[in-house]
Amino acid sequence: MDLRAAWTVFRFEWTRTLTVPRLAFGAVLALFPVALLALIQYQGGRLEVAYGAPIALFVLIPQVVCLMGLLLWATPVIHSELEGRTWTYLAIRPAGKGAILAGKYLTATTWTTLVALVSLTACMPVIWPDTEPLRVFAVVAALTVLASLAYGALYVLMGVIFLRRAMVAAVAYTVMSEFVVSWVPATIHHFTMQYHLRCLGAEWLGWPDDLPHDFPIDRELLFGSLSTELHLLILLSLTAALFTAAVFVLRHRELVRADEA
Amino acid sequence: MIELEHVTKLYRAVIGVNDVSLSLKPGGHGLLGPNGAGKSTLINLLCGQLRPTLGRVRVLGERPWNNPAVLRRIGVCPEQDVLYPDVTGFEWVAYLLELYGFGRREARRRAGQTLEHVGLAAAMHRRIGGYSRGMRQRAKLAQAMAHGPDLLILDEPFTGLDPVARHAMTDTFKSWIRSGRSLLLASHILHEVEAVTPSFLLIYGSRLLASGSAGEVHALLADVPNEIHIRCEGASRLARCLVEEETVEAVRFADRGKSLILSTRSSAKVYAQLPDWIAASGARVQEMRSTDDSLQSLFASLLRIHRGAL
Repeated sequence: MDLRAAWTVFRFEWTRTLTVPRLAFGAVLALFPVALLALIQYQGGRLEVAYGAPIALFVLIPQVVCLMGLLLWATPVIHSELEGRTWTYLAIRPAGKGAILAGKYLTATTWTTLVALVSLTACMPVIWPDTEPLRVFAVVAALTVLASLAYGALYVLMGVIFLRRAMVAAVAYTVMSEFVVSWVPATIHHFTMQYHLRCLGAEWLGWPDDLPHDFPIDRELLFGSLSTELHLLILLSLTAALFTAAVFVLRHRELVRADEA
Repeated sequence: MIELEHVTKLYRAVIGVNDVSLSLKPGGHGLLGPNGAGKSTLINLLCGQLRPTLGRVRVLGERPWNNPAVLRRIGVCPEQDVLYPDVTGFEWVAYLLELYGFGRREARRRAGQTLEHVGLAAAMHRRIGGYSRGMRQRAKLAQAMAHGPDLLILDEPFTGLDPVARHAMTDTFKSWIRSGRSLLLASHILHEVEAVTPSFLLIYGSRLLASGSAGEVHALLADVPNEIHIRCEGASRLARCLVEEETVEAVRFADRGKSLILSTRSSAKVYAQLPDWIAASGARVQEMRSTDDSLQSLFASLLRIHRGAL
């Protein structure tokens, strides 16, 4: 893959993201978890569940802000070019479709990661964790980066497979796989990204084996039986495999609109 | 330069291109056909955006599908409009040049130079969203030419251009061909193509119906049924004269006797003799046109020839 071309696409696309509507949307997305946490704090005092602050941050930042941002920016990377009738101008360049997809993927994940990190930073004063707040911040930030890369690759793949209803397909898949299957106490949850992300989070936060009896998550589902390194390896491998599959599909797919042909 | 061997492209049950075979030498060629004839499908096959369902496509000696070596040597101006409203023409062309592997500085230099060449010097730093259709068309041409390709493929490049710009662009294409480079110009307007190159490919109903020079195509059409509409003073006198001629099949009056419509299968001979007949009859012709002169009917006639119906 032509990395220089991918960087060129990233630079061009990044400039295009710095518009008032996109920045405004980014601000809304970043402030959503802050507002939600502020509301919870205002109504019920501090989160009462043990380890409540890290769980809330994990759910709201890598699982809500990242997913929302990527759904909007990663899923339609090719469809938006087709709709805008600008795809042909890119596809006829010798840099290759893979480089174009890589540049767009990088733009979507960078944008989403930045919005999520701003959101995380803004959430911290609202939901200041009882113990090791900086460690919580660092772990959720790391999970945000990993989630953006992994879900970005997934949504880009869905975007090149389902050109017309990519977002609907991505939402359906996310709900089924990431929010349902990832909690099924069977080996199948190993194939979801959320499982590896939450296991990594629990490991990095150094959560003890003897969690409080009122802890809402099953210990086995939270920690799993794999090592931290293996979780990380699986997550990164999944990301690479999904992105490679997206490039493969894009390279072998004829993306000429029927009315253009 | 371009070789197609029994190329067919199917979109499920719809035929985009039907059993097209051709071999084009370097130089200028016009691809002429009405809208929906299959021109854009053919262009997409040539620039590697579509794979043929059947047959073989070769451009500059290589298969174009997913082939950077071919893409590097061709410049394509698609029919689709540019819709990056938030980007300037200069940024857009420079960006696309960088995707050819040019460094940033060289890409910007070439972008400026080419946009100036196509007459967009004053507006190149304005956002594309504020461009007129003609300006967008020039920007599209600039992105196709800026990297100095060996073969330029243009799909309806004159769309939206004013007459002055059309003239300038025609000159640009002619000098492109004169410089030894190749060009394939697709259009549905005969005189646009004729002004640039004398070599035609006629495509209609997904088939390549004819190819050759303008003279060859006219010769092919010489015996095609044709109607000639003549508005004149003394139409009845002219009609009396015409009905005696063997080459004239039928004559009928129109416009309450002010015009007559002549049917013939030998239009070339009739056109050659018509001035003498008019002079002999003493009619004063105000207007004369072929009622079958639309491109659509020309292609319909060619299709009938292609099918052996004529």
